[in-house]
Amino acid sequence: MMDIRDQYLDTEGAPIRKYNLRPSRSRASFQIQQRAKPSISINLDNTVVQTIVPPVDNTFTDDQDRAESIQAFPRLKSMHSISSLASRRAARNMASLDQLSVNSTIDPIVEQSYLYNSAFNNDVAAEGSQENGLDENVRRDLIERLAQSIYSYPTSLAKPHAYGPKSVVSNEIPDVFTSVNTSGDASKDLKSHGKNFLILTSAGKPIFSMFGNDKDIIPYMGVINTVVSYFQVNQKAQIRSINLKKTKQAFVFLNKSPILLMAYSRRGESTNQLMAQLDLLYSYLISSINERQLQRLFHNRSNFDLHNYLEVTDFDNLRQICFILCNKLYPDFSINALQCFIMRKTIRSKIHDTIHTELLNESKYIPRGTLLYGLILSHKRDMFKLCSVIRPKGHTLHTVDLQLLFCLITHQFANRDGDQELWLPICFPKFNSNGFLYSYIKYLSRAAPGSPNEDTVLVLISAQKDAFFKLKLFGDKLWNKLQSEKLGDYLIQDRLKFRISDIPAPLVHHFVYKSKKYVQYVMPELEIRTEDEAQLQQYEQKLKTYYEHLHHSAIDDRGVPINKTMLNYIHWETGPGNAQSLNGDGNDGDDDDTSEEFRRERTSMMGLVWITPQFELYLVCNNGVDNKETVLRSAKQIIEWCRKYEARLFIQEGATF
Amino acid sequence: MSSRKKNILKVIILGDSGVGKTSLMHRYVNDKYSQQYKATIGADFLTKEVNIDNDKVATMQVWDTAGQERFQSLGVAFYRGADCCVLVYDVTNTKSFQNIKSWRDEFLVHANVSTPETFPFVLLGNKIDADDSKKVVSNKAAQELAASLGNIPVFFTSAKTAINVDTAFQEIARSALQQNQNDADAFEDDFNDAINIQLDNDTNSCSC
Repeated sequence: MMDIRDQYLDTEGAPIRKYNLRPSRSRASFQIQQRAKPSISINLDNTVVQTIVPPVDNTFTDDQDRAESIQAFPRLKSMHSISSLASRRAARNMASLDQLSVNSTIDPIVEQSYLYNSAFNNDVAAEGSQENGLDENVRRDLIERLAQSIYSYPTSLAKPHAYGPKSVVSNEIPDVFTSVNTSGDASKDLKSHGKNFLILTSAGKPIFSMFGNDKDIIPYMGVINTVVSYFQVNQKAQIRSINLKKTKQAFVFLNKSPILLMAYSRRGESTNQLMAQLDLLYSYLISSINERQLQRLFHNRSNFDLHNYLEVTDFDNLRQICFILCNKLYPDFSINALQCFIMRKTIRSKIHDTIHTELLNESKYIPRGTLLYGLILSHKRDMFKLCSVIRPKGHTLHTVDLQLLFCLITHQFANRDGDQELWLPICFPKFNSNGFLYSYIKYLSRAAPGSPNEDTVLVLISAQKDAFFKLKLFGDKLWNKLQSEKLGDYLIQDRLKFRISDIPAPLVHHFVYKSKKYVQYVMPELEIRTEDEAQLQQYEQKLKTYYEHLHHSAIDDRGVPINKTMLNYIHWETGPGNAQSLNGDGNDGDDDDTSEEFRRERTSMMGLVWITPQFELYLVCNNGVDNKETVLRSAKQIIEWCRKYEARLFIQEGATF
Repeated sequence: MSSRKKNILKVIILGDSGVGKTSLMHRYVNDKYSQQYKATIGADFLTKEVNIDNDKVATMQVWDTAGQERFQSLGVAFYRGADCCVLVYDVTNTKSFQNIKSWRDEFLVHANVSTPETFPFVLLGNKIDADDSKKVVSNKAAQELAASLGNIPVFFTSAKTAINVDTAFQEIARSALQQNQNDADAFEDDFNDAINIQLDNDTNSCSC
């Protein structure tokens, strides 16, 4: 038992092992080829720069080869890249070389590992020698121009081969991830789903499962309960996860007695990511029944059947959240920020001024203390953007609370017509998990199906149970006022949007930029021309997975960023006909048995994570991009652009009272 | 989760190793019996839809625990939140009968039930298909024990020849449902959980 636990189980009592990128224990040696740069981590004025390239070709070679390859080549290669970085930094910061601490072995992060076949490597080697023949400046210029020119290619998912063989730099992004079924209907075999969430009581009674019917699920609930209890009773520890490397299955447990939650995933998500998703599901339960009520329900009645206590809408909402977590590009949850709706600074401040004035004018109808918080949102395809915020000075609501509210709104209004209003008691778990607040919700506009417009929603939140009419009156007056000031249209129709090509950031396919100060993020519109929902979803899924990997590379096992400031590059590479394995140091095992699952597409994807105390930037480059300097320059352009338009991209103050 | 408002009844089966707990469960759920003895490891979980008194439908979640001593540390986890506890002994094994009381006590200690006096237990004397010469526990002794444990129902069963198994489990389901509903009735909903908020102090503010 101990052995198994040490190897596979990750409990709170035991220290967490991060697998080394290079499987140095089990193999005699590795032949490191041209493209294989070891992981580098450089400490430059407190910014940790990490280059993560998965190890290449773990074929056996004899010891002599090993010594040669490790000592001669990669060292040289890595020194080259360090010095090029260093010289750039030195020019600005006067950092001298001896301040650099170079560590070429530490890599606590990336779990991917890759294989190339030798033919591919030979190709690369040939290319490499040609490249070296070109003058460096000419080469750089060519790459630059090529990067700029890709914008003339329209992105098209519908016709992936419209331009003949794939160009070296393409602006389509390939899918390097295992495709696993998540959208299937619940009646399917339980094992066919790539991901599942199960919620049960501490007594092992089922509450909710994303997939699977009662009969299939109930025995699993017993098993989950037993596993969690085993560690509680025998090890005095909380089990966090079980990871099966061979089958790439992960089981993650969250014990919120009297509620137990478990996530199952074959998608290579990290424990920490799944844990955060479970926490969100738990937060939803709390938003519906609140923690005090929950404790009361289970007090002296551990046999309580919460499943029967919850309403149909609760299950719908849980399913909705699960769907978003599994299938949508929805960075809100993972980076814990809200997306904001772009608006000219003057207009936004006019709207906020109008709200503020209205609030003062109406103070006899809506006394101070009635309105706690107000929001205007826009909503499309389950995606919410914040337009305006009304809040008391010094008070804000936690993003998780707002995300839960948004999920509720989508669902509660799904089958209602636009004029209906809703009065919704909701517990905001991060604000106060023991009581309810009351939300007045009204759609200000409904976009016609197929129109590019989005729905607009007004939300007014009060702590008073009976404030419905006061809030309704205020809401109506506010909306009339905004319309009479000709501001309404800005909320309904004239949406500013931007595309990645609006920013002079060559080679970048898509990015997410989060402003830590405002806890908001922006990302460019998705640029794919398809009406097909399935394709759109597939594309979102793909981007989502890239971002998950990027995000995962920057945070440690407890969900805390590894460093306050850091810059990571990540490569995803596959060659044609090569087996590759993601997540887990697959070099230890036999890769052949899993290779069938992977797409055989030539891929060379690069992404970047940049975290500082001010912002977080995640970006995904176009396929074939491998020039880090250009990517870094693009990243800087994006940051500069986001800062320049900060007032448009983010809500800075809101209407405070 | 199609079946809304259907009760889930958690039933625990306890008793010494080899008295036939697993066989009883398999006879009841699958109507099968195997001569071969295979000790349960930890616990087995089975579910069955039950129709109680022809008008109530519930899902019975049977937790068949291991009788062997070495699995007892897990008991705590298994017992929590049970709606009914089934105590099984072997009519050909005096020791297993003598241990019934300690199984019951063990359950009550760990299960943390709200009303131990009225918590439903059902006593089953299994293997009554055995030769009379081998039977060492009299029905009378069993009935006396049942009376002393608070007049709990007692059934004499055979998993092998399917005697009384369905009847016993019907009673088990009925007791469990009764317990479940008693608990539900004892609770009154109170949704008066509005939050008092003073906007002028910052105690409720969140840091981000």
